[in-house]
Amino acid sequence: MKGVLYELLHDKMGVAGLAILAFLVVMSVYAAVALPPNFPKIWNNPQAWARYPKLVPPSWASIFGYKVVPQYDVYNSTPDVKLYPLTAAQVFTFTYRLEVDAFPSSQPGILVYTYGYTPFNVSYGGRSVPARPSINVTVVRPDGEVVTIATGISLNVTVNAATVASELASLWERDYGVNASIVGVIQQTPIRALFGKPVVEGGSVKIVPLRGVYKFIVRIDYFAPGVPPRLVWLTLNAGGVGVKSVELVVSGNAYGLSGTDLVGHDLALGLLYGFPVALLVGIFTAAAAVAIGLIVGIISGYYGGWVDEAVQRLIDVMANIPILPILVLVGYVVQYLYQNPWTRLFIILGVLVLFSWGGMAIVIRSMTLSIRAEPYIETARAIGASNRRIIFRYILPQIVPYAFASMVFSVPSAILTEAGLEILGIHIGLPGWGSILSSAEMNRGVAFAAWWWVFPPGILLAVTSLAFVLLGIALETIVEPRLRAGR
Amino acid sequence: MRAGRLAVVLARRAVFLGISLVIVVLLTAVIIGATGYDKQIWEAVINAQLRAYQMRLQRAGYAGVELNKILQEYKERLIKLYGLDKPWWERVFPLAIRTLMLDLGVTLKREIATIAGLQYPAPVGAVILAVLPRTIVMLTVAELICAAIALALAPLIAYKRGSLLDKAVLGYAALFHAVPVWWLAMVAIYVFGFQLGIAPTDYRGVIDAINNFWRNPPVELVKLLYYAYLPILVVTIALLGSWLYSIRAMAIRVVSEDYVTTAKAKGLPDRLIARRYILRVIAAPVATYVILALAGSLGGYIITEAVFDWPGMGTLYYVSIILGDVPTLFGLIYVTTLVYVIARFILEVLQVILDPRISY
Repeated sequence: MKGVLYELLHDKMGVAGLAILAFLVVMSVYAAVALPPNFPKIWNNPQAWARYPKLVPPSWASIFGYKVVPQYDVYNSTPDVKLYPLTAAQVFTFTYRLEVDAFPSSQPGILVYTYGYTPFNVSYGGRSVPARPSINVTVVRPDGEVVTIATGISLNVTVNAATVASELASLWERDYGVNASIVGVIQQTPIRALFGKPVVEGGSVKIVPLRGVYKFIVRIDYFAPGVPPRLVWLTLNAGGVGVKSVELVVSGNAYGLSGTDLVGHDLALGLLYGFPVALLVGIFTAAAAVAIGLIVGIISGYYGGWVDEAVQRLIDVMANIPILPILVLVGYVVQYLYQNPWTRLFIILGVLVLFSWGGMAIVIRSMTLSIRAEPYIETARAIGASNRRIIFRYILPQIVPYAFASMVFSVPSAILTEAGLEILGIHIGLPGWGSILSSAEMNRGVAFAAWWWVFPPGILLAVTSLAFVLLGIALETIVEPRLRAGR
Repeated sequence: MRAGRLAVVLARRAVFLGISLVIVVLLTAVIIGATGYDKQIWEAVINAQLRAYQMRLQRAGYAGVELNKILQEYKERLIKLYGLDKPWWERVFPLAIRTLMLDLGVTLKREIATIAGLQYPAPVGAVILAVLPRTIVMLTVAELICAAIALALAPLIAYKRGSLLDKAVLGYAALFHAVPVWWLAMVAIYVFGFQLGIAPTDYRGVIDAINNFWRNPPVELVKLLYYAYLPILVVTIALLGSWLYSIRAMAIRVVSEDYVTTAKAKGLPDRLIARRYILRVIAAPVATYVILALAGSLGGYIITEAVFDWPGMGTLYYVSIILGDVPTLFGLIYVTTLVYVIARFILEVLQVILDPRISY
């Protein structure tokens, strides 16, 4: 074992393979530590990704000259309590800076969430009157225009395109002298309009980004019918009632290390989860298949007779079975029968193992046959060594290095097969490289414009496989010295 | 005498390959039946028919207890009709045995006939025959190109072992053993289809190009090439690595033999050595590799065809599985295994011709 490692370190391919493998292991450990245990559930719940911008490139796209508007996601829990003629209100203010000539992503655009809402009543004239909340979100733009973004009695709101369009159109007619017919354009792209200004170019109007400071004012009014607002104000001021904090999200046009997909998944997290899954899939399948092949091959080769004949014929039949259709069939059934992703995964891997030990067994059998014919085996037997002793003492040690090398070599095919099944829509339910590529393939019309969605998972699959291919080649030359000549 | 013994040996092989064909089909039947797959498919069919029937009855004015009674009766009739009241083996094995008798039946689903470009309901055999040429155009052509390149290059590479070219080939083989073909296909569609716009992004048009081929061969050939060039290119690039690697490995074993050294010492030209002293000797394993690869290609690549949305054998497999078209599925498994088994039998015969050392 020590000798093998030494030789590996003196082989360029071996070193490269080991280096990549070390990287894969480090990433897997990091994934296990950094991601919560119920991460697959989170990944498959679209609600968990509502805040994230949809289909945006990674933040480092800026090095290609892409103008990055960062994601803005701020909580405010220190409202001003104000008194108005009819209501009392909590006012949460947010300051947003647009510093580059680009627009925030319009999906989801602007989101306002309120937290910790505690309803309250106001006593007046011997009655207890409930105070009804309503929300009003406005923005003060760098050019001084004030636009209402959303109003409503639901406390979580997003942009109301119609309101924005009608207000902005008349403001722009006043401030920029553009025809009010632009209202249709604004309604189609309210986020661009909110963060932009009109420029007349050759008769047509274009909306360009408007840089500067935007002040978002989230006002939550409380109205108790028939009660003087001052009393409501007093109750609010005493604290402990109304809304505790407000979250404002303004979507970036880029996100994180690896961008996002259509659902808003932070792809970096999905890719990270892919590391341990790929290693598990590959190593489990390869190890199990090689273990079966090793046992069956040695038994078949050593004992011979009808056992050997039966095993040979069995392998022959299995070699004729088209394995991928069977896997697709099983995967399809498993998807309906079981909800737990791990159950699904291990059933599919089990079938894969069941059909992939044959080639290994054939080679091990012929190696066993030739070792059994060696004179020293005969000598051992003459001395009185038991079959067990001969197998474990003389045959296994010669075969195990070879088996190990072919195990390493067969790791990639399991990883690629599992990812391929995902492409076919057989979803295990675990996030990973295959499932990310699968969703790209299903949304190919849009996804194939998104390099950050199509390329990284495939590159990671290829790099992972390459690590094992390189290690396999290096190990093969070590255990099979005939291949070494001339290198 | 030798011919007689040879015939016996080949006949034994043929019988054995035939048995394994039967086992594969029966095993498929077990998987389809025992996992509950076919039951689920039939239940879905029954539910769809019940819903349609219920709508018709409601429109006709039936309601309440009366409606439920009629529906219940209809459901029981359907369950009997599809054999859901029987254990799975009584449902699945007759179908498997009919398949083995080459009675492939008709497709259950309209979509399957649509993929083939045929009227529904279509005979399964006709569907497979309609789809097979598309897989040949994409995969078998790619394998043939690989074979030509590998056979031309590999002896020379093996001959110049350790050279830069040899190392480049090794690196290429390692790299493309690791890169999944279907991802390469996605990248190719992304780059050539969507970004550069010089390849199709929708490949269903190939159906027309092949079905109407004989009406106007030159025009249809151009159309066919337009659809096929990217898939062929992708598959060729992906497969060439393992082709080169395998043929090289076969050649290497021969190159270090004494008679090759002697030939070199005699001053024979490299190309003559490659042809007469290397290729001729490795003819048997090479033939095995080529024939198995070509036979394997006829079964289609499920995933790569799915990515290209290429309406070939792989897609037919996939669609028949997800739609639950059991007759088509049986037909496909039977035909692909049959092709493979026939290829293996041809190999047995070829071995005798190509390798004079084999005698029975």
